[in-house]
Amino acid sequence: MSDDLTITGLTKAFGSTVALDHVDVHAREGELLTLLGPSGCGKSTTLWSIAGLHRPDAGRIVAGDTVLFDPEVRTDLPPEDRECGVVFQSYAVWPHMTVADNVGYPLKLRRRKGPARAARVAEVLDLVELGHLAERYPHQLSGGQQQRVALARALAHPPRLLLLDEPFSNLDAKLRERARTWLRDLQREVGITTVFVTHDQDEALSMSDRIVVMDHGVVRQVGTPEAIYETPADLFVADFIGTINLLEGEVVADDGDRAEIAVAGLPHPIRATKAAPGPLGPTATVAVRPEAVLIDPPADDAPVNLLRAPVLDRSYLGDHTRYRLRLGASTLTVQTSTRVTGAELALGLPVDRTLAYPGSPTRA
Amino acid sequence: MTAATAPPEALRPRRSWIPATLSQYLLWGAGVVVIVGPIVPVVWASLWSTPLYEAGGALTPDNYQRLFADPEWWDAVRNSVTFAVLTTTASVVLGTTMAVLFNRTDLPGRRIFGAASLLPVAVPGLPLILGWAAMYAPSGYVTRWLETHTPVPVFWDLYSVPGMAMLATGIAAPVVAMLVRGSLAAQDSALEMAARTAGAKPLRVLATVTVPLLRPALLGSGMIVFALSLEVLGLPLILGSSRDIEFISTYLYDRWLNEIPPEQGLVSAGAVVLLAVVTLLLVARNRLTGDGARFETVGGKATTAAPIALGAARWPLAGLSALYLVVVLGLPLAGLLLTAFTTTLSPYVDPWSVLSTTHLERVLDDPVFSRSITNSLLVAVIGAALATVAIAALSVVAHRSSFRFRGSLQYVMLYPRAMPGLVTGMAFFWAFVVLDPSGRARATLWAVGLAFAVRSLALGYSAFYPALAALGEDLDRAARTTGADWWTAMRTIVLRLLRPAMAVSFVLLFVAMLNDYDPAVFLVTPGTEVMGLTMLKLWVAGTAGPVAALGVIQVVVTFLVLGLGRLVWGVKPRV
Repeated sequence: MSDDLTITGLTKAFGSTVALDHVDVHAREGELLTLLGPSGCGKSTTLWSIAGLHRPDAGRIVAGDTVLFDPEVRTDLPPEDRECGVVFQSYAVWPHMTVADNVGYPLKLRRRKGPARAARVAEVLDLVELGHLAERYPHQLSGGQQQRVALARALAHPPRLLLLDEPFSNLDAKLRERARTWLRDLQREVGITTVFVTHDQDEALSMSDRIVVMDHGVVRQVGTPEAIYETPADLFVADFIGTINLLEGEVVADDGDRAEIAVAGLPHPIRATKAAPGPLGPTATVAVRPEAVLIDPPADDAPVNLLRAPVLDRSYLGDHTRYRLRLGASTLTVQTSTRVTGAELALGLPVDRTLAYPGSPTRA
Repeated sequence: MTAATAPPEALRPRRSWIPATLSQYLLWGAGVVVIVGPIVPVVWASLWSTPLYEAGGALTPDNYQRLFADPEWWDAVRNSVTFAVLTTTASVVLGTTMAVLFNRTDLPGRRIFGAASLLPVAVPGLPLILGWAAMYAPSGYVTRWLETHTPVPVFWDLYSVPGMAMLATGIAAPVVAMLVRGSLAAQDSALEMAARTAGAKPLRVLATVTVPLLRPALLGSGMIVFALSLEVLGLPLILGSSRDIEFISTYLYDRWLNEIPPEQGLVSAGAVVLLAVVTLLLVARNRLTGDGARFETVGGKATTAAPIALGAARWPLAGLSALYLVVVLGLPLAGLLLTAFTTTLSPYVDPWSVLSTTHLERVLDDPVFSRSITNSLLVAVIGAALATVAIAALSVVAHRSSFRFRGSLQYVMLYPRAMPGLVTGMAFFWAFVVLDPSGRARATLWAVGLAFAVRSLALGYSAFYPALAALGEDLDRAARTTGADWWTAMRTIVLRLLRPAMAVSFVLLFVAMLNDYDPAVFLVTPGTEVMGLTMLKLWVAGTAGPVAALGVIQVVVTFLVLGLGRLVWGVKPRV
């Protein structure tokens, strides 16, 4: 049976740079949890700390009821005692062994003999649809097949956790999309608790049960893909996931879960939903997704900010069209699947999909 | 839950009988003690009033005072430094010329020249010196022939310091050429093309862009050649003794072996001074070439540079290159063969009329000769095998473990490069004296083998390390996460994948240990003679023929093994 995974207060510094700053993560039993963030955010360091390949400075890592790492009780299991299956970015398929030998290696270490080992190897290889290639050597396989060998090897013992370190980054775009669905289905079928590291938000959104967004060694938000996309916890997450319009302004009204923000150059303040409870302070940033903006909004009961804006340019992208509009001193990106004409558009910003965050957007 | 997750009965993975950390400590400790440890007794002996095998004695600076007060020591230092300066200058100029000529121009046959010009590095040193002596010494075949048959004046004297530097240049220039060639290959040809598009002619590009960018390589290789020139023993012993020209090495050799009683304290002091100077030189070299960012030539994707057109000078230069190879390598090897297989070698006698195998027969019949062949082969095979295993084991601790002191190990393994062979031998002599006063351990071939192995360690490591560094660390990490402990992961993955690199290291160590002799000078006991030492002693005693026959055997075995290594594992000569 698969275990759950609890990480508390994980901290790691390389010299003066803090790679992990009191990271807390919990992966539920059988869940696919994704660590998502820009490079250098600490996601891989977290994964390697779970596998025992990096030694954190402080914190506690527990899988099921086994403590993997806890300096307070002087526990730091070596990687070989952690019973994790790891798929590396480079796959790390051993070139001197056949596919079957690669997959059989963890079983050989555990003294599983002849027929029992062969049966398990065949079973796992069938699971990754490579049964017919068992006697091949890695150099005779494509990148996608090597990746599946690495996965089969990681699942063979079987492990209590599956750890995936950017496994798709070496595949080409088409193959990557297919591999995602395939891996997702396989993970559900096996039901193993999986921690998946990626910097690709499409990958994270399409595969995960839940996503942990990290930045500079800090967890910014934990939630389902929908929650992360629709209600980002802060401006970093909002900006990092997908495309979003950010408009800075002064707070003119702030009560309960709604606020009104005056954006320079606009005739009326924008009414928005507060992303988090608590007062916004003097300045705030309004965030709205390009596809949430309504064009020629119908006059119905839903509260909407009505605006008119001149069109700067439009780009036709096949299944949708993207408009850039001048809105006061800033530009607003709007995305729609219906084509509209005219030099100026009537827009509606639905209040419930227009979020207000305290502070100004900080762009890197 | 599907069948795929059905857990097999919970089996714990197999574990090595010795914990990883303990084995790492043991390897590290053994490495440090065997490689660096022997320096301690030399320093001790140099500061002690009596030899360490005698009771009593006290701490004293007396040995150093006597050394620095000895005018003969300063003569030897002057000769050694003059020799080293001449050799370094000449071989840097010649080596760079060869590297550029054979790699960057349209010289006819430049590939063959390039390969052949490196051969002197692979030929064992002593036989090559013997060959030179047979041809170019004042009484040599070529010298005499030129004197009697041509009006060409003989402008050289092989038995002088410049003469010896000439021979040493023949051996050291390829070393420089090898290092410079590597640096040339790493240069981005776009830099040259940029100069061309700016309006520079090819030769101007060569002089203003290509060669100036080689400065770190030139400086580095020059310092290596200088350090090696300071410690050569065979050359001055064979060529300098007839004129009483002493080098630092022969000064130490004579005071130890030919004085009664031997001045072991004084010699130890001299050895410590030599060691300190060579170490400083090599540390300085690492400092200087380490600061290479200024000369880094990273740029666009490296493309093959268009060769520089030599024009009308093509064929004359090719002729000159061929002549050079004949003079440096061809004639001396012929001289070695003729000395070995004729009764007398002289331009006044037709060599074909005096062909004979008596020298070879004597070598095979004489117990001392044949024993030194067997000993050398034993040391080379067993020593190279054990040294390769040691290098592999120490390298994985140094580069593939989380062992606390791993960083120190690569310096330990590279340190023997800074240790002159004479000093290594003396270090082991004193170490055996201190640890085993009965002298029984020192009287075995293992003592000689151990000293040779330590001396060759850096060579083997520098051949092995690039392969280890090129092997992705994820491969062993993957093994660790599937349940292999450190030692199992190293054994089944890393070392298994590095077998070809170990083979290359073995071949290079075999050749080095087969032909090495200077560490044995102080270590040898009756019964543990090796080929090189026997040749040296008998040459000094005046027997040329059998020594040349032994040299031929050395050359043949070396080329057979290197050729085989090249065919099977792509072994390339290294320095």
